[in-house]
Amino acid sequence: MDSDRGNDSGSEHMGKKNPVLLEINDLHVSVEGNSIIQGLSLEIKLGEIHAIMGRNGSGKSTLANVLMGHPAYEVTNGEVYFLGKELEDLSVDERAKAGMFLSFQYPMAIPGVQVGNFLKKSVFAVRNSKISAKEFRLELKDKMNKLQIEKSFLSRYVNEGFSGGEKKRMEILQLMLLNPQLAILDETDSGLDIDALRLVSQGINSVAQDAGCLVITHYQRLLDLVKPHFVHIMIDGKIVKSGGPELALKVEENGYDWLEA
Amino acid sequence: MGLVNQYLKQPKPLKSNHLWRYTSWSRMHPLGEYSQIPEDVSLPTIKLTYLDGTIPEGFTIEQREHESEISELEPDVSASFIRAICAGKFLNLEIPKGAVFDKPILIDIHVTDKISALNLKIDNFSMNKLELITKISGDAEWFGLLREGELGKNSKLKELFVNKLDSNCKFLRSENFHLFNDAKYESATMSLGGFRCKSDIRAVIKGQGVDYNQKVAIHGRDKRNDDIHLRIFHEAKNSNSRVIAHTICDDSSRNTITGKLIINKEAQNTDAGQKFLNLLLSEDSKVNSIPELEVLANEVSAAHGASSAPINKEQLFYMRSRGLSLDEAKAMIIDGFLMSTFQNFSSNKLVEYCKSELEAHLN
Repeated sequence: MDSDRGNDSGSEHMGKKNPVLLEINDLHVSVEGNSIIQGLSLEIKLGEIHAIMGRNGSGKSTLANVLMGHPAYEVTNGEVYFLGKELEDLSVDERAKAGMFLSFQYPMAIPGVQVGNFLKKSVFAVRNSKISAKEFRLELKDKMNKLQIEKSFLSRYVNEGFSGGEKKRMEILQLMLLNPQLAILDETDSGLDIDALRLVSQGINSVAQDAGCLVITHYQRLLDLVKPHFVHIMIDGKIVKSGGPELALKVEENGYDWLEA
Repeated sequence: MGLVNQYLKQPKPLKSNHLWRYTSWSRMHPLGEYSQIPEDVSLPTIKLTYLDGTIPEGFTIEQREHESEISELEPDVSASFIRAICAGKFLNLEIPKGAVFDKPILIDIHVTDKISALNLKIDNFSMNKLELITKISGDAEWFGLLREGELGKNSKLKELFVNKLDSNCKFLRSENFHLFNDAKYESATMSLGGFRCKSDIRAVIKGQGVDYNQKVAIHGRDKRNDDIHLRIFHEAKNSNSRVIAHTICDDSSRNTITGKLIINKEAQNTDAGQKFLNLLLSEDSKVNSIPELEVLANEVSAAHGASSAPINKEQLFYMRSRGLSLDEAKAMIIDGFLMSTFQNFSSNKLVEYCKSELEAHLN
């Protein structure tokens, strides 16, 4: 891997005191016998925003899913630690309770489950009921206002019949309510118009101040609004180059061919 | 003895009959033998109130007696048997023509004796608007309920039927409603209780402009056996009917939903559909979903479909990634799957009542 450790000013800004949130060492992942991630290492500290870019099929979404504990993905080698704890020992919901969050590229519809009820149960589960019903209502109202979400949204079924933009705003609403320590955002910008992208980016930035972020994207337009400290390029399940924000601009201009040489 | 004879004169229901193929009549009979008529049959306790407990005014409910024989459109062994063991007595709910009720009315039926039966009739329902909840509960060994009536011109009936019988109870439900011009009937059934349940629900659409909507949610768990047969007979033209059924199949439950849609040759421009969805949670459970069409008219729209699938693993992953445990996520999916049956049901009050009953059941 060609790794120059990215944006030095960012690192200095973060300082050495910031704890390591996520540590991935030589990760190998298979799905149904097919090797998808083939030796990936990455470290994310509190306050850092890392962007991962790469062609379709390079393993970006696999990385997001395996970090959150998707049962279809098999870790065949390597270790992943979150706040010093080996992730393999944690179930999906334990990872969420420990402070991890995945914003899905394609959020699932759950017929019959109302958004309001789902959000309440999630927040109470993740925060171990350390929030009163009244506090939850006030917080929910505040975050919905910030994302310009109508109240009627709460009585709809989760993601059912939602437009692409509504789904992504629902993801960011959950991100803001669950307030994780590590946010993994899998192509959150896809399907958003420029106004929705601005709102969603504001939501991400509000959480990123006190967390670590792993942003998976194809486009610079998101990185103009959610400014990464580090950019990594994935090809064939490996990070082949890491750098600062300028790397994303170079990829936007030249594509990925030059990285394969 | 007229009604007993009328029952005994009927041909013994055969398994070749679509209606009795999956749960035979002998398995539903309280004594197991076709020709036996139980003697100690009690009436259930019935309370009729608004949801806040106050007593509604404006209609009467009184006991009456059938004539010695009832003319039936076609053999109906369940109705005939219940009339016979009720000794021809029935409760008549009479609503003055044109009366409109702005709050739902609850008919709370509680059964405690060994064998219990009730024949309930809705009489003179014309130009009325009513929201009705019928809830059945209790620990009787056997309960038979026959509901029948006519929905006259321009009547609007929205109703919820909740089965919360104890898990030792056998339940036979027989229903027959006739609908006349421009009647609007929306029905939701939440079937949760009883050990072995058989429902024979019939509707005859006799007028134009009728809208008939039947939504059924079934929770099959443990060894529960629930068999619901819906038969909709379109006699008149320019009417609509819709049936939606959602079934949860868990543990070693046995669930059957059969629908028979008959569109007479006079019933041109009928628009009818049946959709059955099943959520499979256990390899030991079993479900039969069989929609059936018999279309004799040539200008109609009639559709039917059925699908069965296990719980979606991606849904579980999504919900667990939000901090819900596997059990919590499954419970929410079950609750959601059952409640989504009633999507677009036009009475929020009935849906809210149904939701609270389901939550109590799942907890």
